Amino acid sequence: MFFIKELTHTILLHPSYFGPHMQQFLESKLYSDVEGTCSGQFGYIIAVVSILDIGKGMVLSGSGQAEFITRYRAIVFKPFKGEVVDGVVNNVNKMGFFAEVGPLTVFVSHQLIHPDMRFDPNSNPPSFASDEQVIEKNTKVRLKIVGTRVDATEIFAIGTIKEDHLGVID
Amino acid sequence: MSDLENDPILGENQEDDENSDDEREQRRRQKQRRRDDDEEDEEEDEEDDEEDPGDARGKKRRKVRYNTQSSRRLDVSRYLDTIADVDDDEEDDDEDEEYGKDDFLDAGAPEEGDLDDINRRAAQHARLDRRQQELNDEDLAKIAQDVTRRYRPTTQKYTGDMNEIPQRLLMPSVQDANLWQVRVRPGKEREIVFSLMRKAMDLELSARPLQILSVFQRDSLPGMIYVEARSSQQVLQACNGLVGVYPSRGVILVPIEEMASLLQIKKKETTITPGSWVRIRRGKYGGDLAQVLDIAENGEEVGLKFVPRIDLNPKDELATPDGKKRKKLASGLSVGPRPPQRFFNYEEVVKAHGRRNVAKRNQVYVFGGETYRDGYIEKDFKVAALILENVNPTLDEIMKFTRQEDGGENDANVNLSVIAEAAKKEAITVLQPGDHVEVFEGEQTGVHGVVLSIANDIVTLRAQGMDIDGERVDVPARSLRKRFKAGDHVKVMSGHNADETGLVVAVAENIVTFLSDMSMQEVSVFSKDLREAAEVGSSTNIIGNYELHDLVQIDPQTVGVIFKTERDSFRVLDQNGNVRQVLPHQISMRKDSNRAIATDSEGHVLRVRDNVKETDGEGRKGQVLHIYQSFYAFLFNRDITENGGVFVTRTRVLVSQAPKGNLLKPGSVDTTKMNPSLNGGAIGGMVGSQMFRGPRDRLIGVSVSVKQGPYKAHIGVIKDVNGTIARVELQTGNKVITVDKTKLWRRNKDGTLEDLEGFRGPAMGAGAGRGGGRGGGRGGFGPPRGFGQNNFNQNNFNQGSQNPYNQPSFNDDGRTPAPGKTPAYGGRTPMHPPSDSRTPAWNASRTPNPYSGGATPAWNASRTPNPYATEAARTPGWGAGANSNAQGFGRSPAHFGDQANEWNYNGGRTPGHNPDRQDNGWNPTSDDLDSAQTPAASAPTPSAWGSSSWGGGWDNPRGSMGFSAETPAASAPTPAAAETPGPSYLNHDDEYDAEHDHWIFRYPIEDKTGLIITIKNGPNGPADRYDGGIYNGHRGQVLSIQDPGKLDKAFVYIRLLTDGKMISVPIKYIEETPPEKRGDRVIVLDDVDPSKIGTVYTVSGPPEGMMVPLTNEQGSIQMELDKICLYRSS
Amino acid sequence: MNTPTPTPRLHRRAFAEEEDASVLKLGAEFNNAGCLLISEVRYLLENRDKDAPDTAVYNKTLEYVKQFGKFTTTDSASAVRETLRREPALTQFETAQIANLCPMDSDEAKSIIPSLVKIDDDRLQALLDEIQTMRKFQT
Repeated sequence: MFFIKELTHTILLHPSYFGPHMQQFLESKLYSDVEGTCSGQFGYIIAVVSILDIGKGMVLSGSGQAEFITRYRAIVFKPFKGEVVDGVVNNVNKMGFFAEVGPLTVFVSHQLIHPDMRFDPNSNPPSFASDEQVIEKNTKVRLKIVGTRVDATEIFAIGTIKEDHLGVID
Repeated sequence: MSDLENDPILGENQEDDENSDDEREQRRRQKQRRRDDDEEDEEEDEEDDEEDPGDARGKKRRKVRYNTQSSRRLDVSRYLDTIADVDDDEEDDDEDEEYGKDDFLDAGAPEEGDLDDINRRAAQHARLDRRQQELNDEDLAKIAQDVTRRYRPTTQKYTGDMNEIPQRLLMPSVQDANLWQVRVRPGKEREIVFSLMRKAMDLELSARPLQILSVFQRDSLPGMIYVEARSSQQVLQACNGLVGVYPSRGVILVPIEEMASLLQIKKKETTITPGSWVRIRRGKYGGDLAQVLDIAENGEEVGLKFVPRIDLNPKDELATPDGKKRKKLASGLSVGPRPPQRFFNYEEVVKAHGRRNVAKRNQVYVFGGETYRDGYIEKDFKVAALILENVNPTLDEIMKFTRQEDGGENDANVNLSVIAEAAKKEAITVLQPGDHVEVFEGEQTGVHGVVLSIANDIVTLRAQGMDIDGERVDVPARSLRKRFKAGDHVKVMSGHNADETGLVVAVAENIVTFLSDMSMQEVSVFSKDLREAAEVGSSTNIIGNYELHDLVQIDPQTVGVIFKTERDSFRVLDQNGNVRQVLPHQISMRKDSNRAIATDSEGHVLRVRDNVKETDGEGRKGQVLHIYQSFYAFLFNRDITENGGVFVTRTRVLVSQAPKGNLLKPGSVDTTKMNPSLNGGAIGGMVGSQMFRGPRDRLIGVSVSVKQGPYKAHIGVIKDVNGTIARVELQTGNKVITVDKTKLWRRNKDGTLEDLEGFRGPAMGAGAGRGGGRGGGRGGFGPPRGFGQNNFNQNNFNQGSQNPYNQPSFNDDGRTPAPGKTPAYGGRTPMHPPSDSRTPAWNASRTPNPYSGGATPAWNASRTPNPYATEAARTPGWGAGANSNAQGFGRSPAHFGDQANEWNYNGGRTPGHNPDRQDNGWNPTSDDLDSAQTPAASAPTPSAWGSSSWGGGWDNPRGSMGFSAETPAASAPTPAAAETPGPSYLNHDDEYDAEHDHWIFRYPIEDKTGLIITIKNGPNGPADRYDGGIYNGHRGQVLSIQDPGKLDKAFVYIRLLTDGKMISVPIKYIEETPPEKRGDRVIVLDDVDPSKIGTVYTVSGPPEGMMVPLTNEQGSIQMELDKICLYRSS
Repeated sequence: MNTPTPTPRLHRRAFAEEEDASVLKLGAEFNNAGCLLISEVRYLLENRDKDAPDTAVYNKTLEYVKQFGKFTTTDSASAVRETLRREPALTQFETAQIANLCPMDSDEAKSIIPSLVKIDDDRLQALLDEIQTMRKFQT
């Protein structure tokens, strides 16, 4: 699910950056620091929509660096357990398939694919197929996220299509 | 304990013992009494009363000693009159000796004794007389009475019902007979106990009955019996002649405190039920899993079914018609002493062993005395030969037992009931509060919930779902199993896959299949081995200092990327695309390719973390993990299942997936560092500044002598150092041996030996240099004698550094702090051409140095040394680390921090590296690894250091420490500072020399804050006065010294002694205060005895060059008046 | 010998509320956060005045929202929001899910967004139909 969320980010600025272009430095720093990052708490920060407050620089004693606590609004993407999402199949192997839901990769294990759909090792590209449906690379699927795992730089999820109204979509 | 209670022998014996002990006690005390005078006796009594029985033994020993001593003393004193009233143990000894001496002397020269001696003797005589008198006077009967009164047992003996004796009173004590452990033949313990009993009964009425009190044996302690007896001799006697007893293997005394627990040990109840799993303890099938078929009635033998290990290639049969077939089989066998597990196959066995050896009866084959059914072997085992606990069958093993009747392996469907059975027992122990569980048997089947608490076998859970949601339910633990559902993030707690984490994809009964976070493979484990885990398997991808996707050096030619971490090893993909398993210790270091760059197929810059795609071959995409030698790129793509998604390719075939310019993106700049755009072309300088490699270990090439071990006294040269191990090439035999560094002496040229890494050794350059006066003294540190780090100096452009006297340009007045070193190390400063900085010594140091910070980015990767990796060490800049003086020029504190760490880790102990440090007290505690005082901790800003390192730093190292402590440690390293080209440092040097000649900076006094100075006119005549001269002649105590590096800007902050006012005075207005009178506390301003503090004894001599003998703890010295200054102790 | 092996004191695991979208538990940070429709994200990303950051996350997201955004115009997207706002029981999350997934009938909707059980089938169906129409006729 995409959200729009207010977040904060702390930037340390070396004194050599102080000056007329400081604002610019701060902004570009913020963009480069947060966009495309991922945290367990907020999910993927896709893009900064607006900077609400660049913050008042507080010079730290000792180093001379200024600390800016910036507030900004960003589009974030966070997957939730139980959420149904659409995605594109990216890779199929005998254990299941990987689907991409925006920045998120979801693995759907063969255990969570309806038993009617069997892995067809002879197909090219590899696929899961039943009488009516075929899942291969670039197939659009609707899946339900059953679990997520968050590490420092990415979120990984596993999903299922073994329920009603899930599976290949047109 | 019930054994103990009901054991009449034990009980009786205890009484006996007490009686005999009482007697002994009395005898002892009588003796003692005879010796001691009354007063002492009282004391002793009190002591004795307080004693607990446990202490009796020790006391006894002491008493015995008393006795011998006293008797000796009595003997002697009777004739020599030397008795003295002594009651202290130690004094006893001493005085005994003294007496002996005295007597001897007396005998030799009786007239020699002086008055004191005679008096003392007289007193002794008198005392002896008095004492003898007393003894005689006392009525003997009264003594006896006293004795009985005093030593009669204070507590009445317990005579009540023995069955109700509190247990603690039954605990064995020293008075009881001892328990002896005797080794016997395993399995025969019980028989031997019985035969001992029979023997005891047999001999009971004979002339020499067995003197042992009891014998027992514990099933849980095989191969041992325990005999209760008073001495081991009695035990040996009893065991003599019995078969299966091995008294030769020692009759071991069981400590008293273990005696009771020996009897308490309960053999754990292990119920064997048909179908349960056991392991065979030893033999051909040792460790193999077996399933219980049936149990013999006596409970001692168990029928087992397991996979046989039949040797299908018996050695004794050489030629058979179908030798080919067997050969083929043989090649499949591992070369081991025991054949692999393999189901019994009639044909194969017949071929190998001949038809005659295999018989078929009904459904069963008999071969070699064993019965085989359905491919399994069925055999009876004794319970003792089985492991019943912690069997932990693995899924693989159990799968072997799911073979179907027809002999075909059924691996598709695991017989779940079988596995459930196997797993059931273990489930109890692994539950924890918070676990999700479900009840799978009993009344509450189907209930699931969260474990709240566990009490023994009863688990309280809060039920979830159904109509009892939220209620507390008590369930026996064995009917619970952990419950997982798809999507749970779990971690494996035990077993082969321990520490693996993953997301559950399927749950079937108690087998959970999850997708490993690491390998992206599905793993099936028992739910009992799992628990929910919040954390990603971070523990699994870090082993030691290495973690997943690190680029590591495996051998000089090979680097690789870790793509999978296993229990304690890694799977590494090397640059040639080979996969190898590597143990952490096989990795020489981690390479950091963060700053490595390469060109891609289009000539663009390729950096780590770029998303790229192959232009040829398979066209794989991936993110660049590492670049090696600008040629190999290690890429990662999760979608590739092979090698955990890591693959290696050439950078030349890659193309960036997102084309971009060469410029750094504006935002990617680290804003906490110096703004690069303000630096101009300084970036190049930065690279240049890091052009030097880490040094090789300073010990390499050092001549050593082996301290201990088989090679003791051999002489050799250290060839290589790895951690604490040195490889030494011996002079004799041309042999290279590996020795612990602690077992080596450093061997100096003159043949003297000293500690390998000890810097306080006598051969310190400092020691040599001191005599040379101030400048010379410092310079003397420059060329350390016989230390490996000679290389530093010698190979640098500044040859003269070895002799400060030859370097007037650096050393005009000889007061420059160690000028020799400055340029010497300066050879590695950024502005010098790399050829200069890469002295031969450095080049030779290609071998990764386990200590050093390692190579810098200039070498493409800053390396993290393996065993002693520290954070700091990872940052580049080792070279500067060695360059202590660099600080003085305001160079990068990053370097400084680095260096300090370096010192912490090894430098502190390796003085030769930069000996002047220790001498100047630069870092007096740097050999202390935990030293908080290390300069690193202070991480000062460059400017701060610029000011303090010359003034405070050199002349007042202690002061500088203090100073640096004031500098906030938080200050971040400034790259700009690192780039400060040091070309002008020579000028600086001169400047410093010229301006910095002030006495207060001159002497390496530890603590200048106590100096008492006098305010005087400035050097420029009477007009040059501080504050109009109002303070002239005033004295003040130095509180701190501020030294920005220039004499005219340096201040001392003093407190005036007159009115306590605190003022800052430029240093040119201060002079030392000479002492005036006896008793003045002074400090020596001298290179020879810096910071020696003493008290003036007298002031004497002509006004010019007065000599002041002063005293301190070390003795007295004479000092010239102008070499000392009044000093106030804090 | 009879000393039990000390069992490590286990950290008491906090019974943190489990996130579960099917019962609208999104965790403290997101329970009340504003949800965006895929179409809105697409609009925001496409009309960004800054240069697009070159991150894998951004690029993949852009590709994704182009592919799965059901409503191509801002008008239709806001119209959908308007429509769904009429049903007060819908949370932000549910609104977004309905608009993103565009279920055909209430049965499907309740299956893929289980928290919709609270809404009457007919009313839900009416909403869904309306959305389908909008989707069909967006310009």
